[in-house]
Amino acid sequence: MIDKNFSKKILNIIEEKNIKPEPKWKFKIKEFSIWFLLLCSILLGSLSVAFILLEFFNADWDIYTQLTDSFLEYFIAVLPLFWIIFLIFFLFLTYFEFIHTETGYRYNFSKILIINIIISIFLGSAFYLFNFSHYINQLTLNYLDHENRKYLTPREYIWFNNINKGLLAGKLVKVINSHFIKVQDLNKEYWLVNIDNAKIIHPEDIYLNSFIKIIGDIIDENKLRAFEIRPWNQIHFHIFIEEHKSQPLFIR
Amino acid sequence: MQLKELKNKSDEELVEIILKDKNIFPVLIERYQNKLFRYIKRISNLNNEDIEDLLQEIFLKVYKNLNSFSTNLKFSAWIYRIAHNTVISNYRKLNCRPKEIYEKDNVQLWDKLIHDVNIEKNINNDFVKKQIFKVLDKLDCKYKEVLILKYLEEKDYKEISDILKKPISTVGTLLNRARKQFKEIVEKNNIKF
Repeated sequence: MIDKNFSKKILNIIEEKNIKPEPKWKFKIKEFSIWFLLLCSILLGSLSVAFILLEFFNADWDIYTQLTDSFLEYFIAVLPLFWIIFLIFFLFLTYFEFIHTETGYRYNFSKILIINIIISIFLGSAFYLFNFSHYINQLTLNYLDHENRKYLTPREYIWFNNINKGLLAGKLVKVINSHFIKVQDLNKEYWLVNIDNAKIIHPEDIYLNSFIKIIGDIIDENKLRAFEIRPWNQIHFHIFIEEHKSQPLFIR
Repeated sequence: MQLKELKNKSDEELVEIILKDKNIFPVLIERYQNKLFRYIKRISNLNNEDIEDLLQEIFLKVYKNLNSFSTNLKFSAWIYRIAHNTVISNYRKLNCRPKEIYEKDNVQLWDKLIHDVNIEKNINNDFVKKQIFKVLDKLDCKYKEVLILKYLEEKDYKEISDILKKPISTVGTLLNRARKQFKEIVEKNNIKF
């Protein structure tokens, strides 16, 4: 069957060509890299869950009739499609990376996917509750223009396009006095807002330079009379937000 | 260390020794060369010379990658995996259908398969061998592969999972489908054992 000197022939080749076993550290680095990428994928998948939760829990379900013609239209408008696709991508990437670990191939697709979904929901919820998604959302509102943002925060689009209905969203830049505030809208224009008759929803979540949503009437060019003011995002566990160490702005 | 002592060492112990002294590597080669030769013969249409060339490549890969071997799996599964992957990657368009059945195969090894698919067998072993060849020739490569590992190489589900890098449940499914296809071919072609 095989040449009887086959094993010696192999040894000769090893000696002639000075072949050596690859060092252990190379395999350790490869293994470490796979686990590192796997962890990154899980974290990014979890972050997209945090953004999905942010969009879902801060959508204006109670006033959708003022924003769109029907619930279905509003639901489709605020659906965070970008983050859902992002999550699906990272779920599959995590699966692919896991099966390339030393023993990951032993587990079937559905088991890996289910465990991954559970971890993403658990971690994503933690990221949401500890305001990571809120913080990143604020950064995008401050530093990205509307065109680049619209896929990240779809609910913004409705507010952006409905100023003529008295729907103003923007950054609270100044509390002038107990009657007026100054707001910079999502188009970077400034508005003077009368708050005499405004109902404040979740005032503990509103602070200087935070983003807010205002429902009211346009009374003049760049002037609005507010009926309701609400924060752009609800904030949980205020200890992590620096601004909340100071007094809340609206004490009624 | 004496040769007799070395031959009593487990594969895993031999790996540790070889990493310190490459001159012990032939002991491991001799342990696996015939098994891997038969395995490659069963899954490919290569002649003996080509198989020997491929075996050389396989053992050199084994030597280079000895530090990647971990006791999470059996050494035999690890070396079979390298053999399997080397055959596949070197001969991508390999026809998995051999021109002839491997003569040294003991037909008793196929008895269990014939029993598992509930086919009646007569006692003429040469005839059975030829009939098996007819059926194998018609099987999908992925099913033939698992049947060979299970019934000829006598690997268990976990070892097959480690060799093919597939979940154990998938191995079970492949084997069931392989047996089913085997039986369907037998019945469709009116093959008698």
